[in-house]
Amino acid sequence: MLWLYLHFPQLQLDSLLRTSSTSSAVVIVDGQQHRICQLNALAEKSGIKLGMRLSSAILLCSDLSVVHYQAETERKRLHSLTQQLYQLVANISLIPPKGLLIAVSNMLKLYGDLSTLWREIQRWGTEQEVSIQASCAYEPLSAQLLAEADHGLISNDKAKLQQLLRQLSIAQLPISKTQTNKLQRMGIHTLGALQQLNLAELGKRFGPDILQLLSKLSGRHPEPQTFYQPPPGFNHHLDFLHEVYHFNGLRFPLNRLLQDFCLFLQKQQLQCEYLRIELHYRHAAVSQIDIRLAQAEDNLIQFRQLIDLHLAQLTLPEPTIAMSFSAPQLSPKQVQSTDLFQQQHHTSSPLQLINRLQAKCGNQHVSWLATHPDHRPEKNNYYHPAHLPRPLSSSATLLSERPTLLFTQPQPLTTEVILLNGPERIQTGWWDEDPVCRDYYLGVNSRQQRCWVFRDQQGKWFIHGLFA
Amino acid sequence: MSGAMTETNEPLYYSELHCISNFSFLRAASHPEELVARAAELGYQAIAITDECSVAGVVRAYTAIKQQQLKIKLIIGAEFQLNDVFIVILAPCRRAYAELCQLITLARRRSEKGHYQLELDDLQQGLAHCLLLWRPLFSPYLQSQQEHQQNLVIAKWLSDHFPQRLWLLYERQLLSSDKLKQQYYCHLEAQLGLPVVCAGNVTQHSPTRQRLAHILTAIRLHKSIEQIGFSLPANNEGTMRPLNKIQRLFPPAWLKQTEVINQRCQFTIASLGYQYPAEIVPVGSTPMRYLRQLVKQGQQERFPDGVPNPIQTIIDKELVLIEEQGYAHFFLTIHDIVMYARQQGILYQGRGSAANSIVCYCLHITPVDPQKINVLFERFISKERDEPPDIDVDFEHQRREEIIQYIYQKYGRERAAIAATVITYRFKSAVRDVGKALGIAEEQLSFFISQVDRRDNELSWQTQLADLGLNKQGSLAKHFIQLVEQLIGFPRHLSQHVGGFVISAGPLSELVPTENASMQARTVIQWDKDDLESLGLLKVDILALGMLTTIRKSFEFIRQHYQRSLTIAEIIKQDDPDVYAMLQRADSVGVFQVESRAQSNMLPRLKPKCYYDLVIQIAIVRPGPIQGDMVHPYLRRRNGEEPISYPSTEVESVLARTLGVPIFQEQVIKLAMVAAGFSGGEADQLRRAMASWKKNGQLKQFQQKLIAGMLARGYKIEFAERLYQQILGFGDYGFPEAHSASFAVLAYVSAWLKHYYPASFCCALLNSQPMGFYSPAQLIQDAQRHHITVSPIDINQSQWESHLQFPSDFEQDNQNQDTNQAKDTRHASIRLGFHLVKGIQQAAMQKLVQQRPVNGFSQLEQINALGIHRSNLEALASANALKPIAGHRYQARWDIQGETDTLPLFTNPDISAPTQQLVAPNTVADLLEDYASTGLTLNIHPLQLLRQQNKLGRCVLANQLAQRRSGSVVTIVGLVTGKQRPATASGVTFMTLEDESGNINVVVWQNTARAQKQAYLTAKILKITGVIEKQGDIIHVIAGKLVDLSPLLLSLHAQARDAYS
Repeated sequence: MLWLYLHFPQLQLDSLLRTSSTSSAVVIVDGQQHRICQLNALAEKSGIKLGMRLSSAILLCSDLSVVHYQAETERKRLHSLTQQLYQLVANISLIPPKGLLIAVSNMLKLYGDLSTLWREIQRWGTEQEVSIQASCAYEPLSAQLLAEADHGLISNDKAKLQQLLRQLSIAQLPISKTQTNKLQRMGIHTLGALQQLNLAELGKRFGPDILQLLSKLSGRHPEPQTFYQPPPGFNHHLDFLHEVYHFNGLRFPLNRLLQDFCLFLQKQQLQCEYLRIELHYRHAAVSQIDIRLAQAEDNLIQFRQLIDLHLAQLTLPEPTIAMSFSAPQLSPKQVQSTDLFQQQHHTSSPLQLINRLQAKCGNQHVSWLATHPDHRPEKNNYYHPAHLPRPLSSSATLLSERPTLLFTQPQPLTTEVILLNGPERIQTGWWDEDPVCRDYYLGVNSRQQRCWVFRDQQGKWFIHGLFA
Repeated sequence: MSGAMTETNEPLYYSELHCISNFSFLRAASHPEELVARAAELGYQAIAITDECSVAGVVRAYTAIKQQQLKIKLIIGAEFQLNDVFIVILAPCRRAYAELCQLITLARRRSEKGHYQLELDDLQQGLAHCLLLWRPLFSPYLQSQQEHQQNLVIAKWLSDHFPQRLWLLYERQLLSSDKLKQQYYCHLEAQLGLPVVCAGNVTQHSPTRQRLAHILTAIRLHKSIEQIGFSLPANNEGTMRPLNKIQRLFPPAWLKQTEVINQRCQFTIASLGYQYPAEIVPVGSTPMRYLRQLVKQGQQERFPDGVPNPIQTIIDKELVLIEEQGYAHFFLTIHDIVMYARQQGILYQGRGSAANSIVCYCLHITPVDPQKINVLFERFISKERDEPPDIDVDFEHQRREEIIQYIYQKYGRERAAIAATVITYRFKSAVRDVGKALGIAEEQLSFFISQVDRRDNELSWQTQLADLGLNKQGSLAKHFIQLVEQLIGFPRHLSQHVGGFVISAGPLSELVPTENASMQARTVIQWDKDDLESLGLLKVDILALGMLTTIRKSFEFIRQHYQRSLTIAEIIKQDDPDVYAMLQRADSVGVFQVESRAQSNMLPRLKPKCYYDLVIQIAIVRPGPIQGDMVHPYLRRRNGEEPISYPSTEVESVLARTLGVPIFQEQVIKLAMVAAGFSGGEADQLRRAMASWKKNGQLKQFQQKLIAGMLARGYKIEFAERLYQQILGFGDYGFPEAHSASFAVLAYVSAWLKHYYPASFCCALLNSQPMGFYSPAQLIQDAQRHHITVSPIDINQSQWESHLQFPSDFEQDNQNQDTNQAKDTRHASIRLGFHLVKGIQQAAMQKLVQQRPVNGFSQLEQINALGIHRSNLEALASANALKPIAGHRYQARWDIQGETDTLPLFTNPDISAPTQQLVAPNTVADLLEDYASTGLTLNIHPLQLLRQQNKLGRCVLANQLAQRRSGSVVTIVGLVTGKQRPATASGVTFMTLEDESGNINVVVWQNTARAQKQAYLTAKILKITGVIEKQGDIIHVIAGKLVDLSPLLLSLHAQARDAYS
């Protein structure tokens, strides 16, 4: 069977440059020593090379954008590339983070010949703005090694491919550095040289792994491949028989859709974080209702409540004639280990409550109350928007001896106060342009309220809070 | 002394009893000097420096008080955190001080470097004289009965062990809990009947240090400022407070206790009497009498024909001085160590001002005949400068450990320890740590550091950093420069001095605490060499020097093969014109101190003809004198191109020996005295400030005084300014004549050996690696250019070290060979040793050599049977050392790996299946394997190979450059073997290229380098087109165009693989 391997040597860089244009040299660095693992043309032009240390690279080019390598970014991009490529070819196997393996033989019927298929793939690659090194071979691993070494060939000529393979440097083989070094020190530099050796003697010196590798490359040890299956999405379009004037009229069709949807989710063991409802009219532009959930769900009641809240805020510009419902991003369901005997799913979780509050009041009106380890009272606690990721709860506790009610802004002290305790001096915060220097006191005013007052450096008095 | 007036008009007497300096590393934000100065300014009675389990900062505090004549008393103490209990211990008297030192030593020695560990029980004994301030537990809002009970138990225990010496320590940081805390202390005071004393818990001398204090905390916690929140104090009350504020904050009765304690503290660190070890002097003698006796004996050895009268006069004068200053023990101690080295055959040499005395010559501390360098006598021990004698002793680097062990064994670890070196923040470390604390990304910081040129005299690093766009980095960054400035010079940790030993009569731990160093079984004291000097304590410097190893090994070869016994003293007896002629040709590879590129450039210009010329040569090629614009005038005057003049006879007396140009540190100091009227003490301060001005900028304070002093004595302002500039230049690298004189001895001896016994010398150099300026490959090439045969590593010929071989060694009849017959130096060849093979074990190879059959190994199996680890054999195979018995190196390696580790019992010679035959390496592969396994090749040079393949184009060889006209354009190609950017020449890089015929010196100007950055920075093989510049015998190529030919190296790798493709 003929295989085609696509290797994406600079996947992270390609994705980066695709989404943000830059006129400067860009490098991606990896590891403790910050070695260059990907670089753009501009960086290459200034003399920077792969494997160079960042410190040397900086000397060559002072205007350098530096990004850290992230395998996760590449893995995600590889997934989305696969999704796209699936439109062109069927049997794709993912070799994360940088490679795809295609079973070509089956596709030749569709495309006629190899070069047509390859042209299509190249066009797709240009569209996706991704650099590709590719090679064919009759064994998956051979194709991969040839592609990774950029020593490949798009051909079904067995003899030529074998010859290329024989020329492959042993440094390209998936064996340890020590083993590579050992082989090189015996003058064995290519796969061809390695293959010529007596297998028994080789095994005695280098262990069974290398023998297994050789047999994989020669096809004596075929590797089963798992091919990519696209994750299902959920799309539904519904033309109404009658014009619908009020959102109440949408409830029934929506309910049906939701029921189908939830059934689908549960069957597929998926959950949904985001769904979109579109209402179509005769004249007016389509209304889009985007529903984002703070937590992925597969639960009918949750969806229904949220959708009801959203629809309640909607006024239809004119009668609607059709509705489409889509949930493009479905994720595998995270199995929560709910105790059999704790009927937890009956109570709504805080996140569900937030979902509902956000739907009702709008995102910007829902906040977390958060604390931060800072001696300045204003910075010690603050509001954090609920739709942003929740700040990691640090060990920041609220300081004791602080008033129950803290004013957002200190107010000038206008009434007489008898001081009971103090001063507590707070003099810090030089680092964020908001330094304070205050002497705080506990006092009692004429209404017998215990208040927290302070004097600033100019000698002015303020009240900052009240104790219970 | 005046105190602030209280409301009742009583003066307030306040002593700060709890104050830490930046020697509590990363905890406090002021230097000890700043703390005492501020305390004096505020009118305190006394200040206790109480660093955490340390007295490392106290000598600096003491020195500041003494030098600036501050009106403040210094109390010595330390704070300790023992689990829940926090205490401050103060030393009221000498006995208490010894107790404190012992306690610190105990706590430090049982923990790893930089840490300590102490339990309450440790306070039970040995602290009979110390005062103790105890801070009871107090948690403001959770004050539980249990905690109170715990306080009562501790209080009971402490008052039992510290009767009348225990106080409750009350400190107020302006927190909301202050009131409760004070009430609780009142309660404790009443219940326990213990006095309360108040203190400031001071961590900084000025409120302006708050930012730095926060930064230090962040550095300590390895986080950024914004992440550490409550780990920072809420306010700035760690600052030393003015008296009127103190008065408002504390009850008068508690304040009074500070004065009570102050009155009890009568110990001053100046009174530390240092006693030399007694065993140096024989029973019944006195140190001075014994010293005189030893000098007398030495005289007879050194002057067998009788001491000339002038010499005798000097000896007598020196001895009187030694007696007056009480230094007899010091000379005796060094004499004792040096005698041990002589006994063991370890080569050594003393250097330093006192080392160049005739007394030291007689004591065999130095081999320099003082008659040759009489010019040095004026710098012996300067009585008026009150500076301790300076003698460093260098030993062979491979055997210095034996000397150190001798000292430990003779005096015991309780009485001998190594001085500390205080590692302080430098520019790079400060940028890195401050940057991290401010949350600047690490790559950004690396970028800053790489971009700032610290040698740029025109743009300060501050300006350069600002130019790099630092201000755009956010609000924090604007503090960056100021914080870096403040942090530079801050101590970071204590490390081990290179070899400064302190030896005392009694236990050292009564004098100064010792703590663990990072090296196993090494301890360091908590003071560095400046501290020791300030207190007048003497240290003995035991240093390691590679060249001494080389010389000793050369002597051994010469004795073994040529039946000639040599000593350093004998060689330097007279100046040999042939040896100087060699140096004048800049033929100096391997010669001590004058082998570097910059030095060898100077040799043909300075043309040293005698010993003293070498002394100058060594000192002249240093960054100092050139920054001070002084070398060229010396050369011009020496060549008679410039008149020699002196602004006054006093100046002439100082500068005559260097033709009116100050070259040595001593001359600058002396000039400050004779021309600017510095007193001896001031000159000594100047000397110390010079050594560390880059670190702390202390030199500035002398500028005014120097210039004013010289103007007042009628010198011109230009001369005065220039002298100051020279002092700045000397600062970093200033080289004392006394040291140069000793180094010149070794330079001459090594040059002599290179001239007369080149093979022995080269072989000894190879066996002393790593040392010096050149790699083994370069040393071997130099030997080959001197027509010495160098033979490859060979399983049957080589020893562990490289050795000399003679034709007679190969005569079959070894029995009849007369080993005692001197051989001809011209026949000596060098056989490289196994030590040059990378990744090989010495023990394994020694075993191999021992068990090698007389006629050598003939089969691989014989070696296998030795049970040596296979990795050694593989390394030998790759170095081609197995060639005589196992074929080419690839095959040898394959065969070795195929050998199974069977016991001899089971070896079955019948099963000898034909093994796989590997293809032999080609020439290129051989070359690459040589470099990979030994870093050198005796076969074809890579450039020759490339030239044969017509890959280099038309170019001139290194040895053809001499025939080219100066000013003509040439193209050269070579391996880049050296890139030196001396501070002496701004913007210039010296590059060394190597081809098969020799080395080429290339000069690359900054603009050339900038324009062709990539080739300049990364090329391994360079092709350079440039202009020849000749000055006498020196040939440079001034680089114009640089072409990176490194891909040719890759092409070689490809060729090496050709066999299979």
